[in-house]
Amino acid sequence: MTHWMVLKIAARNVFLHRMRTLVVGSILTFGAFLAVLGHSFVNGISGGMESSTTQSITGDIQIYSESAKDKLSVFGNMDGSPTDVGHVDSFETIENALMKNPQIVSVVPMGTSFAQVNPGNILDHFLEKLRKSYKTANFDKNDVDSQKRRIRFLAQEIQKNLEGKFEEIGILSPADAAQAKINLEKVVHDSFWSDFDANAEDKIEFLANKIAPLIFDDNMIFFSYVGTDPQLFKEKFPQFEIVKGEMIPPGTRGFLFHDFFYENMVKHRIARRLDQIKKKMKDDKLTLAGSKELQDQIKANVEQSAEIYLQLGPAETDSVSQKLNKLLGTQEKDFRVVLKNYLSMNDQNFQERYDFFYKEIAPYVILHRVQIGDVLPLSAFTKAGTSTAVNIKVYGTFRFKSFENSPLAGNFSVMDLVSLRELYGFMTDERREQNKEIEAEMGLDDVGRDSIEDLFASSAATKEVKPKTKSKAVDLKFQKRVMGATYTQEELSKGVFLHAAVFLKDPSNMDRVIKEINEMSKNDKLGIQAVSWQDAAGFIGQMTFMMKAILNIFIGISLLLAGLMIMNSLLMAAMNRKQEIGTMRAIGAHAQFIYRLFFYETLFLSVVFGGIGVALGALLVVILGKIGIPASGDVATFFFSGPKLYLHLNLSLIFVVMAVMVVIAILATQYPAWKAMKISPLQAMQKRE
Amino acid sequence: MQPIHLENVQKNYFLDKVQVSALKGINLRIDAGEFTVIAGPSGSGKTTILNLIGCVDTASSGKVVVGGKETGALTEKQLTDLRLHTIGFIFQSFNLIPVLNVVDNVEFPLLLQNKQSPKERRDQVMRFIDRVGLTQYAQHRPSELSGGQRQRVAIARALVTKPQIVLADEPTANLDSVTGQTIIDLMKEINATEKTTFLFSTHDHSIMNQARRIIRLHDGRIQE
Repeated sequence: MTHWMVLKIAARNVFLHRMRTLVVGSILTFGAFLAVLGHSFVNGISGGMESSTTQSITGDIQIYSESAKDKLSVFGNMDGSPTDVGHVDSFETIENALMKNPQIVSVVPMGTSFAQVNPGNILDHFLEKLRKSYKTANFDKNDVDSQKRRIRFLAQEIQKNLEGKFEEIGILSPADAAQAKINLEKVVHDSFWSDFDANAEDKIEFLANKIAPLIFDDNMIFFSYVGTDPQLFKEKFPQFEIVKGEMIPPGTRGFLFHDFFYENMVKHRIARRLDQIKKKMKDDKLTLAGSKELQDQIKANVEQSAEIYLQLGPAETDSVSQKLNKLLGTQEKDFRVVLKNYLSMNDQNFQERYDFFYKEIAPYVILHRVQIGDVLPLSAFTKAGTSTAVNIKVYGTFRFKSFENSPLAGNFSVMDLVSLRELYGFMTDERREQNKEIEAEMGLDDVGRDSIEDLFASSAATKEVKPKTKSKAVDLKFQKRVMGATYTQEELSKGVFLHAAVFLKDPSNMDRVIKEINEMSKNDKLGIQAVSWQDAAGFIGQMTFMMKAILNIFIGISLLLAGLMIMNSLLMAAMNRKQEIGTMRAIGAHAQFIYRLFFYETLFLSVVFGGIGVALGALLVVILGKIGIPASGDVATFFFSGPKLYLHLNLSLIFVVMAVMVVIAILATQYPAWKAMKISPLQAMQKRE
Repeated sequence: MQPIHLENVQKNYFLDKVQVSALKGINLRIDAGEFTVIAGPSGSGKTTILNLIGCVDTASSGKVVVGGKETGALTEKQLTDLRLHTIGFIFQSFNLIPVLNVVDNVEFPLLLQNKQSPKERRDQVMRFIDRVGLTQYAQHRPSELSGGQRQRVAIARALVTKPQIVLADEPTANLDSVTGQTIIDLMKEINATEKTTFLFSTHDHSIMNQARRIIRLHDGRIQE
């Protein structure tokens, strides 16, 4: 029955000592609230990052060669370098073996790597267009003349641009600079254009080799890509969707840019900067006046205004010039000056001028250095250090729904696996056939090498290659050896791959399936190893783990501090109740009674106030689960796996948090209760003043 | 009840490293049913004697026998049990548990004893509350009572376990003279009817003269 008395005293003490109750109660409420909200947030982000990663590139599990030099990291290393994971010989063999496991629903072969392309500058672009026009039977003469006028105009602009600067550039030697001046003088002269039609090839060649290089800008595009079975990739990564152009047709070699990359790296620089400024003003609430970063972007636009005026033909220049003067309220005759003035934007006129760009200027410029439908000359270095190249058609751009604005969701493009093999240095059936053709043209024996790398890089090459017959020089002009458009599914399945995404029926079985795959590989000598999506995601996967750990540490420290504050508060309360406790002891209450009193008081506090905190936390989680937490930027979008993070309430979390709060409170009580137990009955005898 | 013995009891304290002798060789015997006052000026050792007899403190030397047991040989738990079953306390500052009402305060020591059924316990509690004239205030909290009423509750609480001895340390010090006299009258009445031994300290002469025996203390010694 003393339990009942203790409970009664404990409960009533809670209400009597209001300040102590308020302090301790607030700490418990806040602690419980933070624990529920924090854990839900951590779980949400963890889930978000998992979705972002598994639904964009990794799948649930990744497999790769067990003799890989590096650990697989599909996003590359932190320094941007690719990882060397070797290769696995036959996808078909591995797929058949893996599909025996009832937990596995599909396997998608892939290989991630890096490549580069130089799509050429605007003059290259105009010349290519002109070249194609001349190759067309019954080409439209008016259209061709218009193109020639534009190219001539461009040459004049280049000449104007470089006036007085040849020697300053430093890229050209004095002799080359002198020659460049002469060349430019030649192409702006009427005599160059008067017999153009009759000597189109040579003239175009001259312009391409002598004039185009004088546009000094960084044209090379570096990018990461995944070579895969595009159809299977689209099917198995449901977030995948085409944004521009079309999907690579089945069995067809092709390339898709990641839309984020296309808009941010391939797009016209001035347009790109304007888009970025607009985004930062909207998302981050920056202003041009207040942000040095944005001011630098504006400055760069002004300095690189040639990117616009070099692309406009004479008629377009007049039209835009008029409209610009109207917009600015000026009458400047020099287009370059009025363009620079227009590009010097501020907060007040930015939106208007941004809209003007896309309405009046963008239609006349090449907005993307690579157009949908272009054939790209991709090149890469094999692991042996040799250079290899493929020409491949760009079919369009894609993104992953929900995190379309996040570069972290894989700023990589997609191409077919067969083309990847070529870029990686493996011999494909088609390359083998093409080599035979070249050898036949040149009268060479087949040197019998199966690997391009072996062909060019092997130091053990002993056979001297001599033509059998005197052959005329192979006319490689205009013979871009665009690889054949198609491949067979058999070729794709039977060939090598670098790693593969494995999809499970139930992702919670991941650890078990990884173990099963590794055991199977060991027993059947498959030569593969399986890792979790988190391991395969490399530093991004580690980010997930680290973020969870950091947040848990933060919650842990908060709860520890809460415990210390509770202990301090209870200790003060105990010391203030010396006479009461002494009286109880004097009357005949044992020390254990006093301990129970404090225990029940704290238990009552922790259950009631912890419960309030848990309820408030759960309520907020439910609300946020409905309205979502908006992602504040690209990185947040990746973590949230979309523009918003929707939290989910885990009911078991409520019980866990309650239990933790009770434990913390009870632990915090121990020292104050011990001190209270030590209060002697003598304290009861002390007289109050 | 067995007599209370103090044989050559000394009690020393340390105040900032200085040893103070509160009691210097006390020899005392208190028999059952006595209504005895321990008198003396402040610092004479009155409270110290009550503490030793009340088993809330132990002697530095000498023997203290309460309820037939030498308190110096008992453990903390045994002393607590001895207090619970043998002694009732009435404090100068009443020392009621503020969150409990009159009934609960009086019931408290009975609950600790845990010898009776709930009904028996309640009946006994109400008897003693009635005895001190506070039946109509049974559900009140201490904060709702006057000083005299609180002290009457304390008396009821001290007596409810029917202890052999009731120790009261200056029980009327915080009361006006009229109320104080009421309390002393109540204690005398209970002493007469229940034969409970009362031992209380005071330096109020009017109270002192109502005791049947006065033990005068001066400077830690009993004055003959």
